[in-house]
Order: sequence, then C-alpha cells, then structure tokens
Amino acid sequence: MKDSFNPSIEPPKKTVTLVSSDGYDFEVEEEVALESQVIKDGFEDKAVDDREYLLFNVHSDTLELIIKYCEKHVSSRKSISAAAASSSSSNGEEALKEWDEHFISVDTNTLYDILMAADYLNIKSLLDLAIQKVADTIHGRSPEQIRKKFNIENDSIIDPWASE
Amino acid sequence: MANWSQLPEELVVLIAIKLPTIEDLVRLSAVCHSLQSAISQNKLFLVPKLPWPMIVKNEGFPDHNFINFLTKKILRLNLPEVLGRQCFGSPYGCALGILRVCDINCLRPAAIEFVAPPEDVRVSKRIYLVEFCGELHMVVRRFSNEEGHEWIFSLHPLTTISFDVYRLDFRTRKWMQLDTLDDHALFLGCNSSFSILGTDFPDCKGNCIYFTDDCKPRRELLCGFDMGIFNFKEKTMEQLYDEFNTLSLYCAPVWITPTPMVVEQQLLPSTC
Repeated sequence: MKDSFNPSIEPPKKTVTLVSSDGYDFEVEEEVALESQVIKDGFEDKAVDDREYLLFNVHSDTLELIIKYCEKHVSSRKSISAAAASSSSSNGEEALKEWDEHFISVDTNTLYDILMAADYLNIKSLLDLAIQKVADTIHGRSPEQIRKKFNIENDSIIDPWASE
Repeated sequence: MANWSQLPEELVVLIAIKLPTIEDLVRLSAVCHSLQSAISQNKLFLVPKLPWPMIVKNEGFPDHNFINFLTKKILRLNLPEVLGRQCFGSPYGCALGILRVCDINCLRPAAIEFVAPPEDVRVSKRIYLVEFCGELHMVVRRFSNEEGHEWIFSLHPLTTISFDVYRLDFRTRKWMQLDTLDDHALFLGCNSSFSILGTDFPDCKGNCIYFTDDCKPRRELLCGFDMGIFNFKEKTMEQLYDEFNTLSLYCAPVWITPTPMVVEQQLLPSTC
C-alpha cells in the first residue's frame, strides 16, 4: 500500500475528507486519517478521487478533538523517530504522555464522546487512554459518588457497601 | 448527553479490567443494574487482584478483617461459618463469604525425601518453600532475636530483619543463593507461600517479599505484629499496614486472593 501511494519523490500531501454526523466536512492529511484502523481497512477499497468518509456516529465537536489527537500523534511519532535516527536525546515520549494526559482531562460527557468515537473509529491508543481515564475516575469512589460523577441514575440496585 | 449506563458491554469490560482494586470493581457493579450485569456476566471478578491478609480478631467473634494494603483500608466481614476454627488453605479459589476452611488435624502428609538446607540456614526460625519460574525456591526469614524462647511472653516477640532466597538445583541437589527475584513478588505466610509476577499487577512491587506474621496461634501470644514488605533489591523494609488492627489474636493472618464471583448476596454483611 505504501509503495503505491508514496513513491520515493515526496508528492504533495494527500488529503481525505471526514464528514461528521451533523454534516461538517473536515479535510485532513491522509496519514492522520489512517490513525483510525477502520479508515485504514477501508482505504484500499476506495477510488483515489473518492476519499470521503461519512462518520455517522461522530459529532463535529468530538471529531475536531479526535483529529487534534491524531495530528499530534503522527507529528510526535515523526519527531521521535527522527531524534532516534540522529541518536540525539529526546524527551518526545515523555512530552507526548504529558500532552495525552492534558488532552484527556475533560468533563465526563466529553470523555464519553471520545471513548465512543475511539471505539467506533478503532484508534487503539486513544481508546486505551480514555479507558484508563474512566478507570482512574472510578477508583476510590463509592457507588453514589460514581453515579454523581457520571450522571447515572440509581435504578435501586442493592448497595453491598451501604453498611460501611 | 452522555449515557454511561448504556455503555457497550465490551467497553465496560475494558474499564473494569483496569480498576486497580477489587473494591473498585464491587463498587462499580453496585452503581446500576446494567453495569452489574456486564461485570458479573463477563466473570470479571475472576480477574486476579492482589492478595489480602485475613486477620481473625478473636475466637468468639465471627468478624474477619481483610486488609487491602494498597488502599490502606480494612474490609470487615462477618463469617459465622469459620467461627472458632483455625483458618488455613490456599490463597486461590477463596471467595469473600465463601471461605474454604480445612481442618489441619485431618491431614497426614506423606514423608518426602528432601535436600537439606545449607548449614548456616538451619538455625533460622522460619523457612518457606515457594515456586517461581518453574523452580523450587527456599526463602529464609531472619529475625532480630533468633536466640531463646522468651518471645512467647513478650508483646513484640520477633522482628523480621531480612530474607535470603535460594534456588534448588535439582541436578546437583544444591541450594544456590539468589541476589535478585527479578520481577517476582513473593507472598509468605502460614497458609501457603506463592509468587506473582509484578508486571501482571501494576500496583505490586516486583523483586519484593510480602510477608505476614506466622506465629503458631497461642492464647498468650499476640499474633499479627510482624507484617511487611521486604524490598529484596534495596534490602529495605516497609510496613504492610500500621494500625493496631493488624493484631490477629486468634490465628495467624492468611493470604486471601479476593475473587467474589457472585455479587448480589454473598457480599452483603447483613445476610452473611
């Protein structure tokens, strides 16, 4: 796949168009869109001049965040491998981890949207990041505190820790 | 608006696996019916968590304390079925509220031929056999006071100061001393000794020995003081839990791996 689309002379950046569920077009670089395994899998089946993806489950607000995440990861990967090739020291991995942490520090509604979109688009690193954030948020909280934090209704389940 | 109670089951599973403690899992399952069903149907309680020492306070009371030394919290369970019994047994397969207890008087272990420990080890008070990496290991626990028997009447009888670990070379029938446990964490106690891999448990320290007091139960003797974590690399000691609650007055603490398989009834103290 790489050979057919990336000949040795650097071509102008190819782009694809992602369309959000509420009808907004987002033009992104091909390699950024390919961070999604779902888009990658469908990529070869598409004609070269028809690179448009309708993402029925992703709202434009969320899609904007997802694209920001993918762009950051593509560019960071490049600078990390460039630093490794020139064997110069780099704290790229550490900096990216910090960036991720800041990126995922969002309210629970946004976290839910990112989690669902990362699952739908199959972006593994983002899914892992969101899952870990949810687990960290749950850790140490009582059932009632979890309900409050995630806005979950109490459907009168028996609370095994009620007598604590 | 996000509807977390309708989160797809496969995502609930991924989140539940990441929860560091069994309490988090139990609490999450108590949030709403859909989360509870996702957790119990996927048998997530079987995902191994770090073992806890079980402390029995007093002969006449069925209260058993399970210490989660990660969160420094104590879980009190009323277990009338083990009232008045000495608890021993495997750390695996025991569920909260369905503790398996065996009467040690019934066991008649067959005599087995064994390789004698090195000469200088024989004077030590406590020796444990532990398997890891598919090899048999001997752990020697050294106390500050190895001489005399006055400790029976003392409030703070023995203090663990260090551990040595030997691997049995079956071919030469010799014990080889180790200078590292790599990423293994050893759990030593009176019920059984076992190892886990630190990398499998993000909250567990590898190259460490987790130990409990394993004094033989006697009325006059307060058990439970000498528990801790020994960092095998740094040769340093850390407290496991530092309250008076670690006193196990009736029998020595038992390592229990918490695996509550059914959440609805067994965990409710009122129905125990």
